[in-house]
Amino acid sequence: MALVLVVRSEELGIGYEHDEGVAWVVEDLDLEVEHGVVTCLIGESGCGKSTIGNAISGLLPPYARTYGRLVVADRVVIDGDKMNFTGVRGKVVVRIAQDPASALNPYLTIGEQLSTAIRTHFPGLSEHDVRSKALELLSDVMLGEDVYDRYPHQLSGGMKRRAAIALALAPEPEVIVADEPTSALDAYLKYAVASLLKKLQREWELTLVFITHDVSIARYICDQVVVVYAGRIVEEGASPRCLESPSHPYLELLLKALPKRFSKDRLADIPGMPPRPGMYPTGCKFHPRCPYVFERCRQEEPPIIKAGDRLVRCWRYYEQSLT
Amino acid sequence: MSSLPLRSTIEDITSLLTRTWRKRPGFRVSLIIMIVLFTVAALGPYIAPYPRQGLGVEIDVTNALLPPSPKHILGTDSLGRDVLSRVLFALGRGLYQSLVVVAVSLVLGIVVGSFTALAPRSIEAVVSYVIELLLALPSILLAALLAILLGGTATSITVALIVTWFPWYARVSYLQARGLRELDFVRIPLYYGLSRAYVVVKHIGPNILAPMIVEALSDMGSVVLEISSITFLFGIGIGSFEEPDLGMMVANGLRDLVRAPWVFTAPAAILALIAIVFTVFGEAVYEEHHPILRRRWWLWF
Repeated sequence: MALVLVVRSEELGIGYEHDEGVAWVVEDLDLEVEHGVVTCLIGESGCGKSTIGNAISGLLPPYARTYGRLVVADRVVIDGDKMNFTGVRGKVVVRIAQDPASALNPYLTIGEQLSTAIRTHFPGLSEHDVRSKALELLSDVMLGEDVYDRYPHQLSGGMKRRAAIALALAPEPEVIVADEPTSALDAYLKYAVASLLKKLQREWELTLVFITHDVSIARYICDQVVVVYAGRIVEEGASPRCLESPSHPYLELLLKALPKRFSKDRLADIPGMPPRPGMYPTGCKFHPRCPYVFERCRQEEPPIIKAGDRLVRCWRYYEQSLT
Repeated sequence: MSSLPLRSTIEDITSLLTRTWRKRPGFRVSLIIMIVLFTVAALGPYIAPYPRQGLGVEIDVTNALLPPSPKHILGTDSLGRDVLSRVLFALGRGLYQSLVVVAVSLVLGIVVGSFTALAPRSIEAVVSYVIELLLALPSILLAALLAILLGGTATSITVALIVTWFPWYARVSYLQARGLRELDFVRIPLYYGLSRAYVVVKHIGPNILAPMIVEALSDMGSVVLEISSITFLFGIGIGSFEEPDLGMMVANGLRDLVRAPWVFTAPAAILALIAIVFTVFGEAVYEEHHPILRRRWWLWF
């Protein structure tokens, strides 16, 4: 497969305006996503994962402020403080919402909502074609034809999630940003939705940006792993292997916090809380919670360092990278 | 396309009404009386025995204050007009007026409320304050003011009532739209650059219409009473002593209460009937829609 960069960000920063100024949530983000790859953004709540996803899918609120550049499908969508998502948002890149209940209008049937989306993106289709295309989309996400005439409240949580995915696929996008598509589902449905997304990604040759805080789902679905902490990439690896052998202490602790089978040990946790945007500590953003912290971490922020098959933002790998 | 969201709203309302019909005998009685009242009001001008007296154009002072008899079933008033004909005409006008007030306020309130919720923050704040200001305004005083300004016709009362009623609907729909505007199906079309009007018509409107109609249904009785109390207190103006209106008839009948109680009793009884029936109807629908309120009379004790 040709290595085509679909999403490329250069020194991207995103912040939200509030009364006292701008809280920068994401800073100096250099992210590259190749065509046809599943990229997982992993991190705790409040790390800026969703903000990155919203930026890629063009759904930043009007009070968002930016710097740097973001290129999606050869279009510069964010350049400095200017955003221009025309022709990209909703056509090339779509987002699957975190909460499908809020993405679907409760007063319209699934069919009506699908047809509206299809009519918008493919004007000139006859009513019959619109309907058959909608039914096709429903069967793609493994929903029966009867769902076409149902209202969202008549669907179960998993079905709603599938309907939201079908709605996102309607414009035939290139990139899908799935913002925690497995939240609030039980363990079985999580894997069902994840494997559905994986299957659709292969069949439609999509680029999938998968945002999750669930490492086990990430391990199951991803090709590329990006660990985000306090709005920065702390570890980036081109394969799920870095989920087996973590380099950054944050990912290491995240993996330790997963429940293990047959283990009688107390489940590990990461002490403290992720810092709030605008109140990030100096030096390495993770140093207050890091078990390996040393003096330099408190003073200076580490650069992204190449360590073996991956990129890590940690001083521990600095010496190693010099040699 | 736009008829489709309305379909589910109509389904909502009809299912609510049938459910209330099944469960509540009070609702059944009041609905039947309401239908009778509306039919009588609609047919009033045609079945009135003395239409010209009903309208107030014809006065026959020689027949003043006659007691009920086969010729004048409800007697005559101080100007010799047939009370039954007067009541029939007045009923139609009152109900029609209250329907206009409720319908116009409902539409106006939904439009103002949902656009306010989507407007920029400064406009939102200003409009909310204005709505609250209008809520604080007593409708009777405003009606008196408008009666002076507009020359005291039935129109001025309708306008005054609309001005004081629509803020309630605007407030309720504003609050509901505020809850909706954080949801993705409202937010994302706006980010995509679709117009506010489209989002209001397609997404917000259908979602708040059904509860708003329920509010309106339960409010109609109060509007009839409000109209009547305004006309009772102020009349519809100096030049319209002939105009049939329940409130005015009660006010005029009071003068002859001792000599001719029937002049006062007939319109007052009709008013009481309207008030009771509409209130029972509205309460039943409202409580069925918000079941948590069913036991709210407990709060009185």
